[in-house]
Amino acid sequence: MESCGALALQSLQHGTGEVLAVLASSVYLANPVGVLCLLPAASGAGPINLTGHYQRPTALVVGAQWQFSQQLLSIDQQAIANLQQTPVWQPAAHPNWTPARLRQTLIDASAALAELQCDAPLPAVTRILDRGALALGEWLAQHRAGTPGDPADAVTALIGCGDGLTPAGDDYLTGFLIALHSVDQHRAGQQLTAHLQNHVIQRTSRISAAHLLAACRGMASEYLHNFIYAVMANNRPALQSATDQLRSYGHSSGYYAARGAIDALTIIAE
Amino acid sequence: MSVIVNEVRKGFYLDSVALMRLSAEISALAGIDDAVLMIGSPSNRQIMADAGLLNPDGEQAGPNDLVIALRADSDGNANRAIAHARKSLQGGSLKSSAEAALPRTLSSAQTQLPDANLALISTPGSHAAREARAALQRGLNVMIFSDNVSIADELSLKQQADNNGLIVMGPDCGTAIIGGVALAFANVVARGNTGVVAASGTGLQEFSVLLAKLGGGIQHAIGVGGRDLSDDIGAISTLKAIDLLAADPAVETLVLISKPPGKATADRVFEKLANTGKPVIACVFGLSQAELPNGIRHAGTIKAAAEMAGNATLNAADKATPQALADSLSAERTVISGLYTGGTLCTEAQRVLRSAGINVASNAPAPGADAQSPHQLIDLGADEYTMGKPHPMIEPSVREPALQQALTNPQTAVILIDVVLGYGAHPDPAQSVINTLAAGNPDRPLVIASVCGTDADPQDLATQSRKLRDAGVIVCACNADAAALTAQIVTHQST
Repeated sequence: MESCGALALQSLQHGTGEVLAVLASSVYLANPVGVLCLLPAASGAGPINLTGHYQRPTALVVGAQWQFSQQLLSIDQQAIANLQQTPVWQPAAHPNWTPARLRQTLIDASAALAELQCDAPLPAVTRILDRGALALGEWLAQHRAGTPGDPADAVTALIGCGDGLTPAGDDYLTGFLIALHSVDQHRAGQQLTAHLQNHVIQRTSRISAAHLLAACRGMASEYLHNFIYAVMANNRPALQSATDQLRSYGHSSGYYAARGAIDALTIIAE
Repeated sequence: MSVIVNEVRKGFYLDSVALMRLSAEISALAGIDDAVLMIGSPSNRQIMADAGLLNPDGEQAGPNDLVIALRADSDGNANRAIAHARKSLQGGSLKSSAEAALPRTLSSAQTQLPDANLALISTPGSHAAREARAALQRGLNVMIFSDNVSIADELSLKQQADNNGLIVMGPDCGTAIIGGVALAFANVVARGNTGVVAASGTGLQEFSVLLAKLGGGIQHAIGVGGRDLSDDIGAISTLKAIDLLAADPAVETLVLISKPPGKATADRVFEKLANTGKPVIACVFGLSQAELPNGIRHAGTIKAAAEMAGNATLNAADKATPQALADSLSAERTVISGLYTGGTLCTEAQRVLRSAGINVASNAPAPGADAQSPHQLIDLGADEYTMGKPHPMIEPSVREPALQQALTNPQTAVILIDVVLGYGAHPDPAQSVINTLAAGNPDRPLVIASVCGTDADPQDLATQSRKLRDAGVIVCACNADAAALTAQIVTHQST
C-alpha cells in the first residue's frame, strides 16, 4: 500500500473489526480502537487513511468482519491489502513562520479559499457556521490575550452541523485545530480539544468524529497540512498546488477546512 | 395541507455527493416543497426543526443515522418521494454498495454474468492486450476499443482467438452491432438481414444509417480493426467474421467495408466472400469491379453499397444546384477544406473528389492524394490531433479552431464537414458548428455537411440537420453526396 496513517495503524494493530461504511471511493473500517479509511492510491495520506491499490471485494457489506495479521488486511477472509513496507504517515514538521509573513500570504490564501467555494449550504447551516466561526475567533483572541474561557455554545453547535459525510462544522473545526497546532498554539489547541472531546461523540457521526479527533491530535489530511504550511511559509506556488489538492478533499471538506485554518491564522497573525 | 415525512436510516452513511444528488432529486419531485438529507446530529435536527421539516420520527435520530426529511403538499406526493429515496438507497443498502458490488475483475464479472460471450475492452493500450488475452482464455470473444495495441499483440491475440473458435474485433474498433445490440459508437438502426464486416468505424456507421434510410437493417456489423486486412495480420478476424455471417441464416446479404487488403491477403478474403453462397457487396476504397472475383459486387462509395444492399435509391437531401452555388462565390474562392471527425468519411470524400479530377492533400491520404494540392481534407480524429485531447466526435469543439481558420481564409470555396451522431457521440454536435459560423463573417465560404445518423439516435437526425440548415449549412443526404456536390461547385468555379 501507498501509505498508512499513524492512527489507522493503531486501529489495525488491534487485529479485528467490522466494516463501518461502504462508499463510492472509500471503505471505512472500525473497531474499539478507532476508525480507518481505505482509499485508492493518490487519494492523499492522512492519519486515519490507508491508501493504495487494494483488491476491493465484490458484494462488500456493512458489518463484514476484517482481520489484520502479519501485515495482511483481509475482509471476510479475503485478502485485500498487503502492508509490507508501507510507510506510516504522520504530518511533516511545519515550516518556520512569522506573523508578518503570515499576514502577507493570508491575502492570497483568502483568494485561494474563494477558488474552493462550493455550492452554498442551507441558509441555516450558514448561520450556524458564521456564528460558530465568530465565537471561535473571539475565544481564540481572548485566549491569546490571556483571558481564556470555555468556547461558547455557538462553537459547540458547529459539531455535526451541515450535510455531507463530514459536516461542514466539523471540517471547519478540523482546519482551525490544525492551524493552531501548526503555529504551536498548543495550549489553545488543548483547551479546544478538551471542549470538543466532551461533545463530539454525542454530536456527530463516528466517521466525522474520527477525523475531528485526529485533528485534535494535530493530524489531518496531508492536503490540509500542505495548504496551511504553504500559507505559513509564504510559498505561493505551494499554495496553488495545495489549493488544487484541496479541491479533491471530499465534496466541500476542503473549502470548510481551509476556511477554519485561515480564520485561525488570521487571528494568530494579528 | 403540508405533510412532513421523516425516514430515519440507522447507522447509514452516504458520501457527500450522493447525499446532495439525492436531496436535489427529491426536492425536484412533484409536490415536494422542501427536502434535506442529513445526519441526525443535534445541530442538524435543530436546523430541520427550524425549517419545519422535522417530525417525531426524525427527532429520535442520532448522529450516526441518516435522516430524509421532506415536506410535501399531499400524502401521495410524500409517499412517492420516500419511495424514490428508498429505491435510490436500494432498500437499505448504500447506493454505493451497488457500485461496490460491480465487478472489478474479469473473473468476478464472469461470475455475475456466466452466459456472457463477449468482453469489450477499453483500457489504455498498454494494458489492453493482457486483458484481451485473459478474456480469450476464459472463452470470451473480444472487442478491443483501445488503440495503441502493437501489431505483434494483435496478431498473437487473433491467432489465439482463431485457434479457439473465437473472434477479436479490433484493436481500435470503435463500432459494432451484434445481434441488434450497439457496441461503443454506433447508431440506432433497425435490425435486418444485412451482415457487415468493416475495417472502418465511421464507414460502418455511415453504411448502417444509409441502409436504415432505405428501409433496410443490420443483423450484425462486425468491426475487425483497421489493420486486420493487412498482410501483417492476414485478415484473421475478417475471415472469421465472413464465416460467422455466412453461417447465420438471418444474414441474407454480406457487405465488406475496408481499404484495400494486403496483396497476399486479398485473394483469401475475396475467395471466401465469393463462396458464401450469399450476395456480397464490397466497398473497398481503391479497388474496382475488375479486381474482384465473380459473385462480388463492387460499390465505389458507402452510399452505393447501401443502395445495393437496400435495393433502393437514396433521395438527395438538398436541391441546391452546383452552378448557382459556385456563382455565389467570389472568384478567389477556389479551395476545398475538409474537416472530418470520421477517418473513413475523409477517405471516401477524397475518393469522390479524385474521381471528379480533384486531387487533395490529407493527413490520412487515400491513394492518389497530392501533398502539394491546395485542397486539404483533414481527419481530425487521427492520432496526431487527439493526443491528450478528446476525439472530435465526443467533443466537437476541438474542430472549431480549424473551422474558424477555414472560414476566414479568403481562398476557401467550400468547407466539407461530417457530423456524426449515435451512441457515444456528443449530444449536440451541430451546435458547435453553428456557434463557429455565428461568430464569423457573413461573407464566408460554403459549408457543406453530411449528418451520419438516424432519427432514432439520441441526437435526432432531423433536428441536427434542421439546425445546420437554419444556420446556412448545405446538408447532403450522405458523405458521398456532400463530396460530389463540392466537386461540382469547385469545378464550376475553376471554369
